[in-house]
Amino acid sequence: MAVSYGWTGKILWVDLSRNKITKVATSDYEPEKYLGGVGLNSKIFWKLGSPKVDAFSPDNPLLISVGPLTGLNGSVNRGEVGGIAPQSYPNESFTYSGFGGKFPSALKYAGYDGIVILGKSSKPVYLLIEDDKVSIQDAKDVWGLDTFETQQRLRSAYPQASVFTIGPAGENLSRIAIILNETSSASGQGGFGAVMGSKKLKAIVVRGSGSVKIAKPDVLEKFINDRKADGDWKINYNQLWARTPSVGGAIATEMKNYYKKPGGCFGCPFQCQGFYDVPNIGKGVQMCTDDWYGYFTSGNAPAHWEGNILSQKLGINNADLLCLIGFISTGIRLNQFTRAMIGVSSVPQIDKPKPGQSELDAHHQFLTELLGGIANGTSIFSQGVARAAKQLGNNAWSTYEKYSTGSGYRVHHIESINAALLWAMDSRDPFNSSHDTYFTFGTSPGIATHFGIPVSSYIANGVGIKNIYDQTEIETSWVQIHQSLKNSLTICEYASLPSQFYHPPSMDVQIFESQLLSAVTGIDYSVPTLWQTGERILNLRRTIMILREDRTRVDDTLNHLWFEQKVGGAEGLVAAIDKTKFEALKDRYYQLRGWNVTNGWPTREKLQELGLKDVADKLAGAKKLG
Amino acid sequence: MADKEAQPEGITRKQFLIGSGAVVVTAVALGVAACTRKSSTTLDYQTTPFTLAPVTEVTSAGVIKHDPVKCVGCGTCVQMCSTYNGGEPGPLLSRTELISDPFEPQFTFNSCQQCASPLCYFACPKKDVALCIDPTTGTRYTNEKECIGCGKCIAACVYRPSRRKMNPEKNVAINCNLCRGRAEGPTCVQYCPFGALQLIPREQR
Repeated sequence: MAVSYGWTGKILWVDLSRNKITKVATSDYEPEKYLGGVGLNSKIFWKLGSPKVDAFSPDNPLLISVGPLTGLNGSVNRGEVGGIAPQSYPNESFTYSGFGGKFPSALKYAGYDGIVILGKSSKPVYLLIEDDKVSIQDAKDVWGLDTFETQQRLRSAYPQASVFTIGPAGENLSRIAIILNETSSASGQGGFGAVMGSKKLKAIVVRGSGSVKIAKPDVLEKFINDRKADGDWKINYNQLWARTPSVGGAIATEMKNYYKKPGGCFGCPFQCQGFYDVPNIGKGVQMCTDDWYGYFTSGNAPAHWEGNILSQKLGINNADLLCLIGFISTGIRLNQFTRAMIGVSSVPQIDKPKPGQSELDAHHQFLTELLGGIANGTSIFSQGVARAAKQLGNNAWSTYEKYSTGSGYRVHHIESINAALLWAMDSRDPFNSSHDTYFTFGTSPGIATHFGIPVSSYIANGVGIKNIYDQTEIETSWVQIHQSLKNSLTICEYASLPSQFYHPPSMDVQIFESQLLSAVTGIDYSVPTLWQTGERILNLRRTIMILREDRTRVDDTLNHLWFEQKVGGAEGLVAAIDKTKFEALKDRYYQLRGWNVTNGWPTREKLQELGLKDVADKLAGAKKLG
Repeated sequence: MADKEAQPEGITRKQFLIGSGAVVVTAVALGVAACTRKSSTTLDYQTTPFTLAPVTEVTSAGVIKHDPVKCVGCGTCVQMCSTYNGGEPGPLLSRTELISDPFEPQFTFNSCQQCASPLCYFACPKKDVALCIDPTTGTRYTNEKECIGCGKCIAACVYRPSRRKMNPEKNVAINCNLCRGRAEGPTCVQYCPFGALQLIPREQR
């Protein structure tokens, strides 16, 4: 179906091996059924045959999509990167990695719903997009520069351009390399910066001057006015936390001195991030995982900030770094590995500063050695913490397991059994887009009940009270469908929590998304239609995992430690998972999904209900239909 | 540029001199050729004479004032401007422009300053028909049905970048007309989440 509104109707197709640029019709990928972002990326990957290739193969497509809402006023200006992720462990897997900033809206204004990058250039290049004019340019002048310098250099050549770039970490194929725009808006988890680096693609420069066609602009303006009148169109507790350092304590207090103003993604009225300027270290915005080093500096704010700025500049995934310092300190203390083995001369968290060296200097030296090594490919951690721990031996691996979930991503919000199931079912850390459970359902039983969700994962003050298995599948299922929609519409995680737009019965987040999408696209998306769209995207992703990665029920789990002891510290469960109860929960979950309980594969009945007959046929051909 | 209200705020001395120069050139052109030719759409701006009305005869107008301290560069202004005035959000259809730098928390907002001595207006070959001044509010605006897209008003603007721009799809020159006729006033002012934009009424300029 040709789409007239919301989508631009074009996808940019770049073959770097052949130096060829074409434009394909978005309608070839049924955008009305897959929206954009993760949905569109999954559909493109599916049509490419879900290639069983390595992450660094020229045939691994680097997929970058925005959504039908991108470019509008609101918290909808996000993009999604997809493809085979080098960070996933033990096997590279097809996954997703979202990002905000100014690049997604710029790409949309340039006239594209997405970019597909295939092949590999013989020399460093960057992609230049100026509306219809698209070219591949020689990147010799920016190859080797950090992400900030690259943006500055390219923006001086192309004023007001938005630049999505890798740093040295991506160039040197670190499996935890990011793709960054602005100072902290990155596609981080998954290591897609290294995929970009493997293609010798340094950056994508976009100047977009066009606009987004809206089916019903008057309806849209009234819609925004109604949300404003209800107090929904300004920052609230769901987002406000992000402006100040999550690490709290002395760092948060001192960082107040360096706070300049709010910052955030284009078009978002919330601007949830904080712009900071710390003398002698640098300027930039921060939120959440940008605090990764602050947790290990005993309150040293400048050191905390250097950890953030340096990882952004070198292009390294903060989320994986969050478990690194604890792992290093413990491993060295227990003689599991030496400082030399990980390429550092001392570790400020366990070593005293050298004579004459200040605490800040000691942190500086450590960060430079550690992050510099990751970025230039000499550090063992360049391959990500999971693979490094494996290489460092059995003892180091057992230390790492306490920080790990089993898929190459560090522990992040597994405070409830529902969260554990979300993790078990995904191909990466699901908590870029599953905070519905932690922020809302876990703490607000009334809102959970409104959406038909039993209070299955009650959390008080951010800590799990007890492990609850009964009816948990209902919440997991709901949150996963909403997650698919968030990442495909595309809409911000923290602006679409179920407690947002909550004025029942006339307005809630489901009604909000369905009305917004309908007004923009001119297609009638009722709440059930919208929800089915989310379920369709989820089923397609599941099918890709089954066909490409041979995923079955036994893979839907966490590492063994979670079933033996309490793991994950403050972000973990109150007690070990009861294996029998968890497997029984999985039975109920598969049944609710319409998947085969034995192997976790979708059934023909379910796939056809979602309009995925071709997907069912393909699974049947591979003898993997549930 | 006799009126101080017309002097651009926050621009460099060099830019200001460019603006002043435009008036001088205009005056010279006037002296030489004011009575010899009527304006023509086929001639280019450099050689086309036009009448410079005395400043006092032009009704003054309000203007949108940007507070760079309050502004966080979210871009709501540009999106709402283009949605109201062009039906679609996007930079080209927006009559205002936001200049940002990811590494500095400083933002510049460019919009028509509704100058006391509007050189764009005097440059328009269809003055009062295409580029008009609202008799009630003083707002300088384009009557899109009459504009021929010659671009002379864009070149005549004293500001850099010019605060008038071409809508290439319609081939008409557009500017911030303070959302003329919109009951709630300028849409950017109404929707700015940080209160960084303010409509200064003409009486207070």
